[in-house]
Amino acid sequence: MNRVDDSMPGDALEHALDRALERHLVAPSLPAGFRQQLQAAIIRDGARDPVALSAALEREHAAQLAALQSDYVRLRQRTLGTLIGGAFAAGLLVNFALPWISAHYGPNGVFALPAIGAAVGLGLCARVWWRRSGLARLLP
Amino acid sequence: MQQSARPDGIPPDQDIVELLRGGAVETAFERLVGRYEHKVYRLCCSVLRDPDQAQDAAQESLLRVWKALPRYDQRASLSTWIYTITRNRCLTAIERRRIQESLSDPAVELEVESVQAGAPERDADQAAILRGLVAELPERHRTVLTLYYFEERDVSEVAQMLGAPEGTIKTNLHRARELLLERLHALGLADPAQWLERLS
Repeated sequence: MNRVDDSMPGDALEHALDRALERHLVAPSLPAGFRQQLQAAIIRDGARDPVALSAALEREHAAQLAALQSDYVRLRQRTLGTLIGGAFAAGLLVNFALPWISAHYGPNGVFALPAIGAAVGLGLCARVWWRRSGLARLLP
Repeated sequence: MQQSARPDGIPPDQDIVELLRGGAVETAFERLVGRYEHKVYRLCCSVLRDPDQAQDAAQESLLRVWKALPRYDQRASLSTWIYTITRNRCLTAIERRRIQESLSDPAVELEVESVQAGAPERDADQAAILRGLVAELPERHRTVLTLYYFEERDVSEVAQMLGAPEGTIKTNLHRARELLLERLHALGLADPAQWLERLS
């Protein structure tokens, strides 16, 4: 800090002036409630400032987009898990079912299971197609 | 103008800058306000000479600081940056005042009239005379002189607040005192030194 050295008054009159000024030019104190008013001004300004509003909306949009992406990834993982789990379960079932079918229905009986599966699959596809096509609404 | 480093070598306001780097803008601003609100208000008072206008200008300056704080790039020291914003805000206020009002200042005129009426004896009147003489000084001399006493004679702080070299501040201080002494002599006082001593 550079306190006054060469700017100090020299003679008695200047000393007297310096002391008088020091006494009468007193630093004003901060008005009461200055900080609260500043806080209020910041809140008011933030509420009406288009730049701040735009930034807030962008932040909100980014957060929603991140949440959607997170849900989408979770859904894909769940679907993949279901498919893999289903395939393993079907394999296990076939592993136990084939010897039993062969024993009861003969060697050609093994074709019955895939045939039944294919028939059920085709039936489900046809039902879905029927509903989606809107033909069902045309019927009385 | 760069603010000098502290004796421990750490640049001033480094804590606030670190907070800003970490994205803690609100905490940084809170600390900044605690450190600078008085100085900003005193700078506004010395430039504008009106407590209400100074309060408005200080509030608006700090509001601008708040809005610009995330974009503070450290090209200047934090204090220099804050004082620059404050000075610009004060200049805008002065310009607005010039447009809205006439150039006459009733408060100053009253004090100047009392000076011209003669040399009163009471201390309160003498203080008013002294303040009137200060108010009559040219703007740059008055601002420097006022801020110098507000900041407890810290020339480097005044220089930083006004964005001027220390040499210029000292020259302005010297000239302001010379002008005050000339005007004291012009009052026709028998003993100006004694008159001032009664004030101090």
